[in-house]
Amino acid sequence: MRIGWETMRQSALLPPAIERAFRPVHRLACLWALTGSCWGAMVTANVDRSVAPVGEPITFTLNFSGAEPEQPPEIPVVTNLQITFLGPSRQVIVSNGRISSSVSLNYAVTAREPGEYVIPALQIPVGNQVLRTDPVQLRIVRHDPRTQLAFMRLVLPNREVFVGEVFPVEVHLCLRDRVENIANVQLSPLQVESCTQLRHVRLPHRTERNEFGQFTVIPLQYSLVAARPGSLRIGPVDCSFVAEITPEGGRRDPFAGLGLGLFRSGETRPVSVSAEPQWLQVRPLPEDGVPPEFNGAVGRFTLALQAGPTNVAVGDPITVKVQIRGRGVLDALKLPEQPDWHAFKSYPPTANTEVTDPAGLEGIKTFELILVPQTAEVRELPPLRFAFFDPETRTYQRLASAPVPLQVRAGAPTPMPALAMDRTAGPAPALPTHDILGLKQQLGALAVGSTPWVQQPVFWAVHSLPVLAWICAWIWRRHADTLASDPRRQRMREARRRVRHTLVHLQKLSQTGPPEAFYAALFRLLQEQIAERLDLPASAITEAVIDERLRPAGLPDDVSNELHELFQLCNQARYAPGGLSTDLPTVRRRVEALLPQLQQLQI
Amino acid sequence: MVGLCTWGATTTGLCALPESTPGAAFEEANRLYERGLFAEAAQAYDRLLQQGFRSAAVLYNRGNAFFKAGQLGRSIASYREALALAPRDMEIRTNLRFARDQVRGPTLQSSAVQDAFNLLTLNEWTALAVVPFWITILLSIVSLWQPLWHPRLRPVIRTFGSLTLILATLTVAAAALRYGQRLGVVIAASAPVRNGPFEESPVLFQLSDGAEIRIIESKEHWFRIQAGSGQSGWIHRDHLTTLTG
Repeated sequence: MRIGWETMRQSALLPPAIERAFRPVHRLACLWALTGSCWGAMVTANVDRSVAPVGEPITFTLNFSGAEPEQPPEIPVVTNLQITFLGPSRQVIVSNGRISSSVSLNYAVTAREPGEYVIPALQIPVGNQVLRTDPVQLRIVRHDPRTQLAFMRLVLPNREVFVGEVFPVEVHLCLRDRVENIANVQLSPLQVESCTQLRHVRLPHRTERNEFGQFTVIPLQYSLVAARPGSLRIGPVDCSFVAEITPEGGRRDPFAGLGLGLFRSGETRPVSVSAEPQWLQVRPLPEDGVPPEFNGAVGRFTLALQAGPTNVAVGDPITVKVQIRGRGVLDALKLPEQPDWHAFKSYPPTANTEVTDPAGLEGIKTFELILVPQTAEVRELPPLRFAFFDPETRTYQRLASAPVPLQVRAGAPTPMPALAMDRTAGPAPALPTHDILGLKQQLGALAVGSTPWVQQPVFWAVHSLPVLAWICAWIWRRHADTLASDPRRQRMREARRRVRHTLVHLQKLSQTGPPEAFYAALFRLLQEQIAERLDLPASAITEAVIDERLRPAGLPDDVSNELHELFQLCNQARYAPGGLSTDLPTVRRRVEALLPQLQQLQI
Repeated sequence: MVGLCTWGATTTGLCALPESTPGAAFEEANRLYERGLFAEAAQAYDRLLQQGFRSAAVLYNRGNAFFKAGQLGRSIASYREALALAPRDMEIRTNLRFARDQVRGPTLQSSAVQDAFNLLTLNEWTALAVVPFWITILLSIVSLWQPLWHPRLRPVIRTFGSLTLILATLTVAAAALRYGQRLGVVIAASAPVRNGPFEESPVLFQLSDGAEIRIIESKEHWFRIQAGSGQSGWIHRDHLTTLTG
């Protein structure tokens, strides 16, 4: 068991109060350990990494065990190296019942120029003896992403590729061995120029050691197809994640690799890395030596063919199964036209693609097509010819299947219509030189109901609405025009409207009062009604009109008298409101009884 | 070793959607056709139609299956039904023409006027007439509402009104052509046309598979038809399939 006091203190595992309480105990333990093991004093010098970029500090450590110098030793000056003392750290180690102590003196070493450096051997006096260290070599490089915690790189094919060729591009995420775990990985899509991206797959990770240290490489493989020749840009691609990092000199979590991460003593840090774009040279397919059956297949393929049944009658279908196996863009693979199969009627093949590697670069494409022999002279199914361009050898390759022997007997072909001749029929027409067009592959829009719109009542109902609207608009316009041409009628309509409104107002006033307002409204009402009958302005109506115009026009005496009384009530309310009748509802009922008789008066 | 359990979430996956029933049935029927099982393919398309999945593609493919199965009359009837749904589909027109070329004997020939009317479905003709009709009515209402605009709107209303009348007339003509006559297609290899609606009636002439005829009247199991040659007679119902709309 090892207990590192400084490690515990630095990682803030102990609260300050506990630390203060244990400090004397710790010092006693150190003293005891030092005195007990002074005879075995030794010193070692090491650095946390031997390769670093310019400007980044390297930790140079002198580890003393069994003894401790009183002063930190002076480090000799090395040209272009700046060495600064950081401080000591102590460790008390209890191992198998033995207690030992060590002191580490830490220095920060920063280089100003790239190059090879050596921190020379040191002679350090400790007590009555002189301890020696070995020289330490450092390599300082210019800025390089590989010196970072993580970096990404794009790995392109190390040769030129051809248009139509499927090629792999790998994105490597490299993590320094200090990275325990990563989470929340966000990977941007791979930017590619004029390339079709087929699929991508994550390959098993591996360990890689180079001059900058040990890395875990996580490869992601993309399958691309170049669409045009020229210099095409591949990348960039970005990645960000949260890394869990083991502290310098700390223990690694033994379960981290299993994804359990039981002892999370390290720190977490967000990391963003990016792989710079690279250029890929894409060549066009050669124009010389193109086989006639070449239809664009690029890769490396083999061909197999099966046909059956082989004993058929003319017109019977033969199922031909063609398997093209190999590496290339299988989805785009098509069977070329077969001029040797002119004795057969062929139908468009169905195709099925089976990928055999995770990256989708290799697989089998199976075509199944129907051939119908047209004559009994057919003795074999001629070889199926297929050609492809092999980018490895940079040549066109031709493939041909073995011919399949057939036995074709004369017989009824695919039954053409049995046509009855009539008296007007001429000679039988020759067999057609071409066939009907092929099937439709899309179901298409479904016909909802077969009844046409003109036979649906809803259609006529909907389209009668604008006609009705037009009729209403026409009637309204005629009515408006008629009113506009008859001013007297218009005035009478207006007067009737005002009488109606005043009557409603009168009803309210008869219940709420005040009497003065009631009689004022009543006066206006009588004026409006009489004016409407006489076609005069309402303001011209006075009580005198009753005897001058209404009575000669045939107004009955009792109505005239009632009208007089109402006018007088109104005048009394206006000029002597003190003795006014307050039985307003009775007055209102009298008015309501009077108005119809006035309205019936024909003048 | 570095733990990478969380990495897998970044890789993309393809999501396979379940195929709909009519699409799958259609694919299956097409597959039967490609295997050379034409009669079975025609039955499969028929089942789709009976389930209400009626589209120009199904009718067209059924026509192809009938044609390959040697049932010329049924294929012509199927193509004509497909054409009624998609009158400007060149594949359907080509195959119908090709099938008609295989018919021997007299068959009803459509005139150029009928062909012109058949370039649009009846609903398309109706839509063509309805649009200027609505514009005319709306402009007329606006004109009644605002009499001051009437002089400016009058020529527009007259133009759209005239257009409505012309297109409505053409729509009525298209409807009359489509529904004013009953048509049929002979589906028997040889169909005798008799003098009367009885098996004992003497045979006047024969019609061959695929011959298109006009139906004049019907009586029990018999149709009185007029053939392309102008001759008329009675043909048994079993030898004929009638065309719908």
